[in-house]
Amino acid sequence: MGTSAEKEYAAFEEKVKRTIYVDNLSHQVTKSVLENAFNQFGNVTNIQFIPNYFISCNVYAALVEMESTKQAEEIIGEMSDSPFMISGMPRPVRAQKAKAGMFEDRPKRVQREIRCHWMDPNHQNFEVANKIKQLTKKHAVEATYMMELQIEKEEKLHQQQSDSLKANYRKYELIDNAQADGIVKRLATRYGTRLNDY
Amino acid sequence: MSRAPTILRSKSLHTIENSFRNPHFSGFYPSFLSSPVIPPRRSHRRSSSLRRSSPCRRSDVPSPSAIIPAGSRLLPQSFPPSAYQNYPIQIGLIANDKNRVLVQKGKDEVEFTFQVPEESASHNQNSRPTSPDNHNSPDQNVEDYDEGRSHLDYSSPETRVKGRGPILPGSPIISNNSDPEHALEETHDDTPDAKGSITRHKAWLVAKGYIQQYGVDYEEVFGPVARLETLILGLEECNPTKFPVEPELKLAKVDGSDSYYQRKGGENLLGYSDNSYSVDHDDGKGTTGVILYFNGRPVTWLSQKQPTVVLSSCEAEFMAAPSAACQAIWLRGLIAEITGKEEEQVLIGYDFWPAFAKKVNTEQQLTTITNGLVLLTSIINFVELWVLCMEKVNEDGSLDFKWLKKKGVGGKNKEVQFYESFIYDGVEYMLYDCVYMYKEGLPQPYIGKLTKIWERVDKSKKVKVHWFFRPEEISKWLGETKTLENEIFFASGGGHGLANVNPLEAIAGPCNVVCISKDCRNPQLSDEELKEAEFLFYRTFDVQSCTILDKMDDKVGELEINYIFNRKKGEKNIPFHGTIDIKDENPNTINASETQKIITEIIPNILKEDPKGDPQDNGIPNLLKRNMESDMSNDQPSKKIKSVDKCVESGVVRGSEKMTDMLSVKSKVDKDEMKVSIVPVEKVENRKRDKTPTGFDKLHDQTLKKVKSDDKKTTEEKPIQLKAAQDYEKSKVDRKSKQEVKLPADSNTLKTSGISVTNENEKNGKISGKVTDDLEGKKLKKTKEDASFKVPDSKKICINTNEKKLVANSALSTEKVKSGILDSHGNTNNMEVEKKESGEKKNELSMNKSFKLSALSTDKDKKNKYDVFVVTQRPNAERSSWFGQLPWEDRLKSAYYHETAILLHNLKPDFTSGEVEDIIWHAFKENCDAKILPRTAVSSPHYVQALIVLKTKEAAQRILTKLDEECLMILNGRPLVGTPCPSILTKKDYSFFGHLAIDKARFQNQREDEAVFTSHFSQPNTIEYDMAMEWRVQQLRSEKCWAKLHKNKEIRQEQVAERSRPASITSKLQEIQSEMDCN
Repeated sequence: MGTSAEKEYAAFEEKVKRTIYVDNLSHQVTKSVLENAFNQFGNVTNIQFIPNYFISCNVYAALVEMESTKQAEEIIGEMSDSPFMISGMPRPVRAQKAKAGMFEDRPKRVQREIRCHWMDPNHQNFEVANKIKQLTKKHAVEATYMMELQIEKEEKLHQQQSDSLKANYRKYELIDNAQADGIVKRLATRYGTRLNDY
Repeated sequence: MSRAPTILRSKSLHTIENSFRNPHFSGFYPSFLSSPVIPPRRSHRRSSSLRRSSPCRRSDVPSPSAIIPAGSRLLPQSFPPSAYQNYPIQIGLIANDKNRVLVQKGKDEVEFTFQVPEESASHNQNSRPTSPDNHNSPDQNVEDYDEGRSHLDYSSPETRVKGRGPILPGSPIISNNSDPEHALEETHDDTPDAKGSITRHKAWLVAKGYIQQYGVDYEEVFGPVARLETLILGLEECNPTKFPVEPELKLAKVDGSDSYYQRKGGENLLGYSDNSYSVDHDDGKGTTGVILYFNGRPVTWLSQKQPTVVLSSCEAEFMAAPSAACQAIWLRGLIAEITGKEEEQVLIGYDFWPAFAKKVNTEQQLTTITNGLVLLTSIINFVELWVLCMEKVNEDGSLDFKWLKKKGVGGKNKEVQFYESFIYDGVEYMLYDCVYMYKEGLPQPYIGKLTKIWERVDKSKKVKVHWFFRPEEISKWLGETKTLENEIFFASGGGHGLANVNPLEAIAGPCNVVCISKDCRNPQLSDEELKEAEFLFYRTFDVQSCTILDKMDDKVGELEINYIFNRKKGEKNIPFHGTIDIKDENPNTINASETQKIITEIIPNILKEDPKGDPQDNGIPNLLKRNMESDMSNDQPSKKIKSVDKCVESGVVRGSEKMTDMLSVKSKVDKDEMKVSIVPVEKVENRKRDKTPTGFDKLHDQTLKKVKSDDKKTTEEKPIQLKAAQDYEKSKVDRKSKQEVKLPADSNTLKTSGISVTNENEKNGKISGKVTDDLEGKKLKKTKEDASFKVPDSKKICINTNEKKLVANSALSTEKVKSGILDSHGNTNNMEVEKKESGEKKNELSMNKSFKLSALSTDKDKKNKYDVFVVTQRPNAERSSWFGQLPWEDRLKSAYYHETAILLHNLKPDFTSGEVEDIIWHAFKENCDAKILPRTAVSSPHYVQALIVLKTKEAAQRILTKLDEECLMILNGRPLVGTPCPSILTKKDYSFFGHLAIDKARFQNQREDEAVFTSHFSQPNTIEYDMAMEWRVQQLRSEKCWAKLHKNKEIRQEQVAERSRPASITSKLQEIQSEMDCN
């Protein structure tokens, strides 16, 4: 399919270069949130969420297409330097360069032939092929397991953090309340200290 | 002031004088006329002298006691001539209106005469005598003045000193004395006052602030500006030998003349114009350049930015051309003024070449050219110029002629030089070329073959011409014999009428005559060559027996047969370039560049009668020579038409793949062109007829006839033109169908010869390439090797599809679409139309397609189960995507519940969903919806997964088992793996860790949270930052784990592929787990 397909693909590749892959996103993050977040650094031209079909694969990611490749690279660099939080979420989002495979609707590459064949069971490599098949399946399972592990870890961290956060919150709440109902002042007069901080 | 007329009685001089005091009269002199104060005394005291002043010469001047409209401007009659004398340019337009030239006769017979200055020369003598009186008595003068002042009631000294009052009007007679002596006297007379009280400066009034009013005081203003051209021309005029500013120039007295410079006999004016298109990149405007030569030296030149933006270089040219014309017209007037002779001719060279050389591929550009020509013609017509198109103006200014190849010498004293080729009018002629020979009084030019070319010792050039006969010419003997279109007959036999010796100058142009004789000695011509030919011949006409002969002997007349037949390859006739040069007889014409095409204007006053440098004295009587001479100049218009025609033609041609002009002009253009150029010529002709002596009367008709013949010729030459523009589409279809019919249906060898080019041109909409008609469809039988290609029978079906593809692919294929649409049998036609390259491309495509199709068929046949098959787009691939379907998520969900979804693994990362669908179709004959799972940061970089949704559960099961039991290898040894679709994620399953919130706070700020999303880089020394860091660590860990996992996978896969060693997966997993725990 000659030049037009090639052109299309070249354009697509350009697009890929402009795009940032963002994951570790909360499900609460919507398109507009992302847009607002990334518009701080440049101009977002398009946002696309990577669909996640399976329970086993708990990745919520998005592709943010910026105006230029330069912008995208700058953002990625900045976000790896300091943690970027979207919607005040403590878990920082992670950004990296997008890859062509991340796009659901990528165009066909140059005209090529896909050659397939059913393997003759008597062929010497049939066994090898079968083993590869098994391996592939196992890999899939491994990946799922890995994902489970990751989620487990994440949950753990989440729990931990939320506990400490709650504790911190309680602490601050206490102080707040103490200040609000005049306890701090009374204590200060009692102990003869000045409360200059407020 | 009221405009109502007031009758002035004879005594009412006061009234008039008073009227000078009126503010409206305060300054009715133009600035340069501001005169010294003239005592009013003259007007009435010296009435005797004034009486002598002449009445106005004009018969329509009102008689005494005429009506003077109030507010009329009155000029003092004795207005000092010095006022004029001292200013170089005389403007005497004040009161030159006849209503304003007034005569007033008073009781004391005071006469007020107002005269137009240029008319007043004769009156000066009459008014003259007044002045001496004044001279003699300066005292009286003063007295008079004072008196006059009191008379005018200039009582206020202030008025007098400041000059505010209307002190000036003296006797109101305009004296336009051109005698400088008197003028001096007058000035003297007026200058100092004896009492010294008032000094009179000429510019005084103006300096004092008198204001003149337009329409009252003056009507025209001239600046005393001399144009540079005038000076140059003046120098030029008296110094025709050298450029005036040449340093070595010495003044020398020419014998027998008072002038230091020799005057030249014939002057001529020559101009060139050129333009640069869009030179200014800021505003896109071009530059016009004009240079005019007088007697071979430049007198005026300009290079200026064009005032408007033009769309093409052609248009820019049309803009530049008139400016040269205007300049020339002005200069011509100036020259006429200086030399006293009207310039006969102004040649202006317009460089139209680049304009026409540009591709003319839009209707708009064509229109531009046409409009431009119309414009130009009308401009030129308006100023009585006519347009000529000429290719070159030669160096020596005479005929554009050059000998090329010498053949030998001959004659008694070896004085005669024989030549083989020469250039004449910019066209190269060779021996045995066919040419048109014009002869007076003939509607059509003769056609002949040059058999000898020589130059005599007296420099006269001769050619021997072996004649061709047109069927019309020998119709008497032709009888019932049928002739082809454009067929002519070669003269044979011997005696009178076979060949003649003619002056070389009689050649009017090259003629492309080809021999279509089937004789084996005759090199056969290709279709294109035949198409290019203007005339064909294969028979001869015996001038003795007056019979038509089909056969040619070895020698016809004195001519060897091989000179009669077509030339062999390599010695081809020079193609007719489509331009005819002007025979410029002007000896001083300046050289123009070789390729320049020039339209020349000729101011058609008189025909050029100067004998040329090379008189044709070979027995032609003088009168005839003269006639020929004028014939030449009369030829010019006709040639002009032709060449203007050709110009446009060639423009078109160049715009359309450089086909020869003979074949390729759209009739519309032609018609327009003819219109454009004929009109002025006819007009000019008529005009000329009035002017030219009776002896030339015939020439007019003749020229017109030539115009006609030209017209005819062009139409003859270009059968294409016969098609009107409206019929264009139709004819195209016709032609196609014709071709369709003519092509053998079973033949797969299709031809892409000249037709392709023609059709290429069709795209431009210029040519209705009616290829088959003009040569009786002869060419279709011929096939060009290089352009032909084969299309295998079996693949014919796919061509229609291919067409579509081609359309999408190549820009070239646009016209193919057209043809495809026009022709329902796109198959054959398409092949024909294509150019070679596109043909190849298509061939490729069809091959591709056929390959795929063959794959399909093998698949269908299942001859060999384990053969490699190529996955192509399945036939109904598009259809599935056209249907409006449920969103993919929904379909997947339902497929999951119905167990029709399969997860495919081990696909190459760059596969697309469509390709997966194709693979499934080819492998299992099942239609499915596939979706490649987009990669994420955690997915393997080596392969991708795809989800396919099948129609039925059974199909899904079948595919799963088949994939499991058998082995489908894709590309480089990747077995396809299918697993049932894992559990599908639903909304409620969404879980995400790390989005921490304090329940209470969230509750409180719920609304705000929704409204305001904050995204920020967290700052160090906050809790948030600490948490983020923790997450970062976690992320990095998992990242590393994933990387390791994928790496391991890769390694293992390689291992397996190499030596099929099973890997202990569980141990690996444990390893990984422990790693993670460690982290």
